[in-house]
Amino acid sequence: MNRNQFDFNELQTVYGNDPEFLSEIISAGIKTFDSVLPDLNQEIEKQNIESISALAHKLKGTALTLCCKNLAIVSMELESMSNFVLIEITDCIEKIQKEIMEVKKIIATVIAKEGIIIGVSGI
Amino acid sequence: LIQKKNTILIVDDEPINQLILKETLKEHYELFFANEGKSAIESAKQNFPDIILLDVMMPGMSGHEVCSFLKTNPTTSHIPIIFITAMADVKQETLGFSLGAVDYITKPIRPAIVAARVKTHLSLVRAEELKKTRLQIIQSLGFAAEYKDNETGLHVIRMSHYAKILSLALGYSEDAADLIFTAAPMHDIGKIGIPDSILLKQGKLDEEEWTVMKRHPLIGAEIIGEHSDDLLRTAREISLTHHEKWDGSGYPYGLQKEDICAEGRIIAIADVFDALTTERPYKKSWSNKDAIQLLIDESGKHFDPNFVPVFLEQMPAILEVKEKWKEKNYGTITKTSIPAIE
Repeated sequence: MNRNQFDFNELQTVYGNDPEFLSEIISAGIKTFDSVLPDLNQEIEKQNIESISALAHKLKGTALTLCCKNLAIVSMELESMSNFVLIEITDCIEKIQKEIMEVKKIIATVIAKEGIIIGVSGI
Repeated sequence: LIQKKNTILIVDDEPINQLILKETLKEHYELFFANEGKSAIESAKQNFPDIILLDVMMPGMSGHEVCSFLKTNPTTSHIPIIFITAMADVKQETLGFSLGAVDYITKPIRPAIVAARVKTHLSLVRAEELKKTRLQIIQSLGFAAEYKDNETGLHVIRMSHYAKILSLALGYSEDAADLIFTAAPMHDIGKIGIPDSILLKQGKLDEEEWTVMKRHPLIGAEIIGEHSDDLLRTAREISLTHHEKWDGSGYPYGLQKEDICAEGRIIAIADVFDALTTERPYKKSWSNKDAIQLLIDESGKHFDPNFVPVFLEQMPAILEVKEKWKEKNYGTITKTSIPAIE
């Protein structure tokens, strides 16, 4: 498992070992990941670089909280784009989508192993 | 005794951050939540939290805009604000501080760090409150003494300002001058212990009455007590020495020259100048010119000859204070209208 994608040990170190609380954190994070992606696509259509940057910022914050370093890095890349260059932006969003899918898979494996039940579907 | 929990307003649009902050702080504090700027402002105005944790990047109003609004509103300007943000940008942090934030916490939120910072800032708030309360009590005591022989209570305000102006002109630091300013209202606290029949007597005191009257510096020192605290120690020294005279003819000890503490010599000038230039039930007010002449005549006798010229040099500032706090503007000060000495 690549700890840069999801570091469960770090998550436990920072937020403690209470499975219920960890479950709530993970659920809240995944909900944010899932809600940001459609919003990003909408803002691409509007070519609104400020809103894209704000959504990327939101994604970055949540990724950092959830100890998903790679996702935070690629989100930051999108956040720092100051001009609307469609190819660059869609490319970056594709990377984000891919990373989120990977992260969700890893999280599913980890929580199954740890016996953590989370309240979101799609994992 | 039931101790009320401190209150915290958490402003963040991210559910995951609200969740972590809630879990971190719920045990020790009462929490309010807002997920955008407008409702944060409403909550602050309604709940007056002890501290606000404020996200910077939010939809609609940014955290900086919320902070700016709260700091310009008199009812919320005192509430400490800690920014919580993923931005690790020196410019953004500087902007936050310039808007009045007390601290910055960067995301990801580390519960231990948040808990420690909140605790520290609430301790600072508490310390500031205690300091204010302490000053108010000291000022109230000064007013209490003033009430006994002066109807308005404005004397202590004016003479405290005069004393601060003189202290600064003598080269005291701002802090040291503030100490004298704050302690000055206590100079006549000992008058509380003087019988009204003497203190309020119309006409001249006889020898026996005068002997009693001259005890008020000692009574004041006794009321204040002996403390290691700078403010109370200074107040005690001032009470004890403000009627001493440079040539040794004062009371209670007949101290001379530098044996009288500098604060006592400063207060002597400030107190007498104000007493002369304001009307009292038993006397008309002197003109500024006559009062200044008395200071000059008494320089080296009653007053420190080094301090008098410095005080006279500050006359424009002194007269400004005199005008601002003149008796007819305020009339009789009631318990509820005592102005804060600032």
